[in-house]
Amino acid sequence: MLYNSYIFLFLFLPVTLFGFHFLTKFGHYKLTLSWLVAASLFFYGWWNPVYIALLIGSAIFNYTIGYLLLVRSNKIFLYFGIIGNLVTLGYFKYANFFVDNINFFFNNNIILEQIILPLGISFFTFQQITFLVDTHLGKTKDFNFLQYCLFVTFFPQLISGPIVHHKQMMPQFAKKSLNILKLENLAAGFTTFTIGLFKKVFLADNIAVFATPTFDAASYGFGLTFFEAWGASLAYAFQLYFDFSGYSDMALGLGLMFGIALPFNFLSPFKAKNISEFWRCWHISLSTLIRDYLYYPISLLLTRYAVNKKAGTISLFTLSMVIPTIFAFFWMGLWHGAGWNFVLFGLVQAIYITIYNIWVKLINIIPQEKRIKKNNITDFISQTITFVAILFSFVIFRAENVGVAKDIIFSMLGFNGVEFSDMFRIGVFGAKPKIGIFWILFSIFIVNFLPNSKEFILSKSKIFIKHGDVISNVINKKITWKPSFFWGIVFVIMLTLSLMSFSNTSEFLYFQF
Amino acid sequence: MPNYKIFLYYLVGVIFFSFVLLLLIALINFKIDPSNIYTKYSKSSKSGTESLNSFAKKLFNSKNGILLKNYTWNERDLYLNFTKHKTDADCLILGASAIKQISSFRKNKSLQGTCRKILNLGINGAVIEDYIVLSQSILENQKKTKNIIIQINAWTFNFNRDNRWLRYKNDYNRAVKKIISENDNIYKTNKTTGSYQTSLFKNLINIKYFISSLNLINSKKNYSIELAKDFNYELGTTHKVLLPDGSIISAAKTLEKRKKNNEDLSIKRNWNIQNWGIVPGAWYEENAINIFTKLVNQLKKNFNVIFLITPYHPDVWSNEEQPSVKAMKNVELKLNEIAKILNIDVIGSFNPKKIGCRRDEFFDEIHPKDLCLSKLENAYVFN
Repeated sequence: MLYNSYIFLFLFLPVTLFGFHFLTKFGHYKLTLSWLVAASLFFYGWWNPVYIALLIGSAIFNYTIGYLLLVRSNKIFLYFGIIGNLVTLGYFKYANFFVDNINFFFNNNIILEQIILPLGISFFTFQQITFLVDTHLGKTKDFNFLQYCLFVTFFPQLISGPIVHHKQMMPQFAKKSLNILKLENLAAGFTTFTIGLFKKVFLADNIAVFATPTFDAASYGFGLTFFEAWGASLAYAFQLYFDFSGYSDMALGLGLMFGIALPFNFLSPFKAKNISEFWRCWHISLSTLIRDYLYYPISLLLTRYAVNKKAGTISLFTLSMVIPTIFAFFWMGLWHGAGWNFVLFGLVQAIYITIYNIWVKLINIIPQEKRIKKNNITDFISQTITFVAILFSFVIFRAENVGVAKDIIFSMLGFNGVEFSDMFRIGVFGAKPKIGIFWILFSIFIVNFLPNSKEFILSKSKIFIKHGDVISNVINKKITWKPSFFWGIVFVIMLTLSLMSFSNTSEFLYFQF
Repeated sequence: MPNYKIFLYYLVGVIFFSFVLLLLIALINFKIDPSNIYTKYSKSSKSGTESLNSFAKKLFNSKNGILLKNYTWNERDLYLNFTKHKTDADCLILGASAIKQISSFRKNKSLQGTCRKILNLGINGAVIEDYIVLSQSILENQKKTKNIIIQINAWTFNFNRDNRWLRYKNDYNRAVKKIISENDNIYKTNKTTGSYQTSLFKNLINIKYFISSLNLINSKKNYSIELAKDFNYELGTTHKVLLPDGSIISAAKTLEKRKKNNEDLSIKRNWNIQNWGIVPGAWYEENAINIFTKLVNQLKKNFNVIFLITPYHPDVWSNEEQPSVKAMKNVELKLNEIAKILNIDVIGSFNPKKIGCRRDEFFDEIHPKDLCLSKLENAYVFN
C-alpha cells in the first residue's frame, strides 16, 4: 500500500489510528500492540501477501536467536543469525546479480528465474542484524516478543525506513510510554505527513518528468547534449531528494500520530559544505548504521594494528581512515542495489571522503591566522563544489549501468560539445524546456532557503526532545510551524494540491532498495 | 484558550477546509468539463441522442464541416453516432489520432488507390476496446460500405491501455459478447475491472483536468452547431474544424505553432514506451490478438478489411534500440503474420523510410501530415 493512495489516506490510516487510540485509551496494552502489528502486516501484505510469511519468519528467527544470545552469549549464535539474515537478503536481492556476473566472467549460461525483491527487505534485515549484534554485546534491555514484532513491522518505517534502532524504538513500545491521544502530536504528525506527501506527489513526481526520459534515452544509446545531461542530473538529484525525504517525513509524521518518535533521516543535505557533512545529513539512519557497525569497528581494529606496528603518518592515515572508508562505502553502495553502478557509487563517495580528509589534514597544517576566514562566499563555493560532486555521483547511482553513467558524465563535462542554442530545445527537459527550468529553480530555492522538517516542526513536538533529539543548527528560526491561521492556510493548499496530484500514483524510488 | 484546543481547531480546520477546497475544485471541473466527460449530451439520454443525430446530419450535409468550438462535444459519443448514419463513403477508417488527417476531401488525398470516399472515425487514444464498440455498430448499421480500414498502433494489441473508452463501457460489454461467448477464456480473463464511475469521481479532483478547466473558465459552452465557412485547409481557420468526412483540420494558431516546432527540429527523439502502457518485451497480449482476429473475421463477412499502419517521425526511428521502435517492429511483424493468415492487405508501415515520409511531413513525433499520409499506399502488402 502506498502512502500516496486514497485507500491508505481515507481508509487504512483513519481506521488504524482510531483503533490504536481507542485501545490505548482503555488501557488494553497487548491488544494495542497486536492491533498495530496486525495493521502493519496488512499494510505490508497489500502489496504481495506471500511475503508476509517472510516478514513474520524473519522476525521469529531473529527474536529466537536474540533470545538464545541473551541466555548464553555465544558467538556461534550470533554468526548463525547474521549469516541467516545475509543469506536471505542475498538470495532475494543479489542472486540474479551474482549469477549474471558468473555467466559474464566465466562464460557460463546459468539460468536463474527473476527473483522478485520483497519490499523493505534491506531495511528490516539490517535493523535486525543490529539487534543481534547489540544483544550479543549485552546492550539490549527490552525483550518482549510483541514489542519486538512491532519494532520490525511498524508500518510507517517498514518499507523504506528510516532504519530504526531497537534502542530508540523498544522503550517507546513499553506500556508506560504508549500515551493516550495527544492532539499536539496528532497535529504535528499530520503536518509533517502533509509536508512529505507534498514533497513526493507534487515536487518529486513533477520533477521526475524531466529526469526519467533523458536517463532512459541515454540507456537506449542516444548521445546527450551538455544541457540535456545537466538538466537530467539536476532534475534527478531533486527528484531523489524530494521522493526519499518526502517518504521519510511521511513516516515521521505517521509515527507522531501514534505517539512514536522515529529518527530524522534528512537534514538539508544539499546545504552541506563538505562531503562529510552531506553524509551526516543524507539518509542519516543508514549512514549512522554503517558508521557504527562497519566503519568504527574496522577503523578501531586497523588503528590498533597500525599503532602496534608503529606505522608512519601516511600508513596510519591509510589504515585508520582510508581503508575503513572504502570498506564502509563499498557496502553502502551495494546495500542500495545489485549492480556495479551502486558499487561504483559507493567507491566514488569513499574517494570524495578521502580527498576531503586529506584536505582537512592539509588545512590543519596552515596556522589558524593565515587561513582564509569563512564567509558567505567561501560557504557558497564549498556548498557548490559539494553539490556538484554529489550530482556526478548521483548520475552513477541512477544510470542503467556504468557505461551509460560514463556517457552522461562525458556529456556533462562537455565532451559532446557545448551548444548554448540547445538549452531551450525540446530534448532538454522533455517537451517543456521552460517548465523544466522553472522546476529546477524552484527546487534550488526550496532546498537552500527553506527549513528542513526538523527545523520546521521540532519546536512544537516535545515528543522528539523527550526521546533524545535536540534542535541543532537551526538556520531558519523564523520559519517554524505553529498551529496558526497562517500555517493552516498554507497546509490546506499543500494538502489540496497533493490530493489533486494523486491520479498518477507513482511508487517511491527507495522501494527498489 | 487551552493549548489542546488550538491544536484541535488547527487540525479540524485544515482537514475541513481542504475538503471544502476539493469540493470547490470538483464543482469547477464538473461544470467546465473540458473533455465533456460529464456532459449532459450523453448518448444515453433522449435529448443527447437527438443532439448527436442533428450534429451528424449537419456535418454530413455540410460543405466545409463544423467548427469545434469550446470543446462542446464528447468525441466518442460523436463518432459512435456517426457509425449509425447512412453514408455513401466506400471506406470507413478506424484508428487513433494519427489518422485524423486522412481525408478524401483535401488537396493531398489519402488512400486514393483504395477509397473513393472516406469516413474517418479516428479517435484520440483509440484502443482495441474502441475498435470493438465501433465495429459492432458498423456491422449493425452500415450495409453499403465496401472497405473497413483498421489502423494498428503499437499499443493496439493490449487491453485497457487507456481508460477513455470506458465512456461507452456498456456498449463494449454488449459488443464483446457478440464476438466471443461468455464461457470463452478470453472473456473471463478480459473482464474489465476498472470502474468508470470511480475514474470519473477521481477525475473531478485531478490537477491536470483542473488546469484545463481554468484555461476554459471564461469561455462559455456553446451547444449550437456552427458550420465552417470557406477556408484554406492548409492554413486552418479560427477554430478546429471537423470536415464532412470526419477528418480534422487544426485551428490556424495550432497549425502555425506546429510548423514553428517543426522548423526548430524540436522533436523528442526518445519516445517513452510508458505512454503506450507496454512493458518492454511483452509487446502484445495473446488474448487481445485472439479477440482482434475474431473481430476481423466477423467484419470480413460483410466488408473488405484492410490493415493500416501510419509512420512515426524519422527522428524517433533514428535509434532503433529504443523500446518504442522495438515495439513498433514487433507489432508490425505480428500484424503481417495475422494479415497473411486472414488474407488481408496491409497498407503503410511504422517506418517512415518505407513510405517515403520526410521529417517536415510530420506535425510532431507521432502525427503525420496529410502529405505523408497521401503516400501510405507506397507500402502495400497484398495478401
